[in-house]
Amino acid sequence: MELKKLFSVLVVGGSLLASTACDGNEENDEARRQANDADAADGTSDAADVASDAAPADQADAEPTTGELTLCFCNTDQCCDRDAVGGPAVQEGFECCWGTTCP
Amino acid sequence: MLLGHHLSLKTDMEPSWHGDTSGDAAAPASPERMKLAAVWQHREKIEREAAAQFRLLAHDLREAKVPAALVSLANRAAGEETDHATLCRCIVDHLAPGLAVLPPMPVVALGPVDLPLARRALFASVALSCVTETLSTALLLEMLRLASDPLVEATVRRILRDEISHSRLGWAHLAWIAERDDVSWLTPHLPGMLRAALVVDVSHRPLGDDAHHGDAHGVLSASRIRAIAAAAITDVVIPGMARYGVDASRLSVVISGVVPAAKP
Repeated sequence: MELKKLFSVLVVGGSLLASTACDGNEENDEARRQANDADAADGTSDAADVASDAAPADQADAEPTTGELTLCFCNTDQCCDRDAVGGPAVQEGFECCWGTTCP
Repeated sequence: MLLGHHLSLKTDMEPSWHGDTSGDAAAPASPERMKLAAVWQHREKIEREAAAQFRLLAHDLREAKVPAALVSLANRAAGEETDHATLCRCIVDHLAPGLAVLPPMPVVALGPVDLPLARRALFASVALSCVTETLSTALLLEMLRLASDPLVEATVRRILRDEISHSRLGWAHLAWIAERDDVSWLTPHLPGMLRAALVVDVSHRPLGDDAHHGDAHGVLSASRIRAIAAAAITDVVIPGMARYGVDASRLSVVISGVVPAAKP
């Protein structure tokens, strides 16, 4: 993988993390998400390339810390289990923030 | 992480990975294998030190009231670094069974002592994650490309996956702070961060530069490290810092001062 792609994976990917981290200001969070959509597309697609090199495809990207609930915007797939009995549900260890739900 | 998790890692790695050391246990490792093992022994020590640094970072992030998601990432990084130390030990045992565990250095808070807590936390994030883990990720990509020993390849692949997350933590923290405050104060501290990262990772080079035979076991030559580190600084760290108003242009000259050029 070219190192220029690493910028997208690490720096842009990091900014996406920052934009989805719940900090108590819903309006700012939404604005940041919209502003980062294009960057996010590049970052996550490049991250997928790296992830395919770095780990088996069936490993989940989201692995919350044991014993702590990780806040997550549940309108993304990262923290949702679509195959849960009864419909999409937030994965163990995650907590939906700002009223978001799993699609 | 919990002892059970470590045992699980051991289970994942054996018997196939450790099975072939039974012959090594009867005969001493060759000088070349000893040198390779010494590099991984050093890495094992670094991973334990990194675990302690991330635990301290997690504490400071929580105290500085940074979003819980980032605190969780730091805590997870601490656990993963401990796992990496275990993985490194497996390789040491694979190459040269019986090589001692090096004691880690005591953890110290990074950055000037007079920094307020929030800035101290950001200093640590940038040093550990934006600089060190970014370099580590770039080097691991190259190691993965060249590694042919199955145990080494599997180990590098696993560590690389985690290091991506560890690097992102720093960039996320920097992005979050930069939205709220001026972070240009980091500029004069960057060369020192890079020097520290390079010395820790590059100083232990027992194989010198005629080490193409080390590639198979995840030990890159000094010249290759220099090239990868320079590219990572140029293509990732400098533009990444510039994105948030931190001038990292001086970092390009730091590489040549720490990683010597290859001997002709």
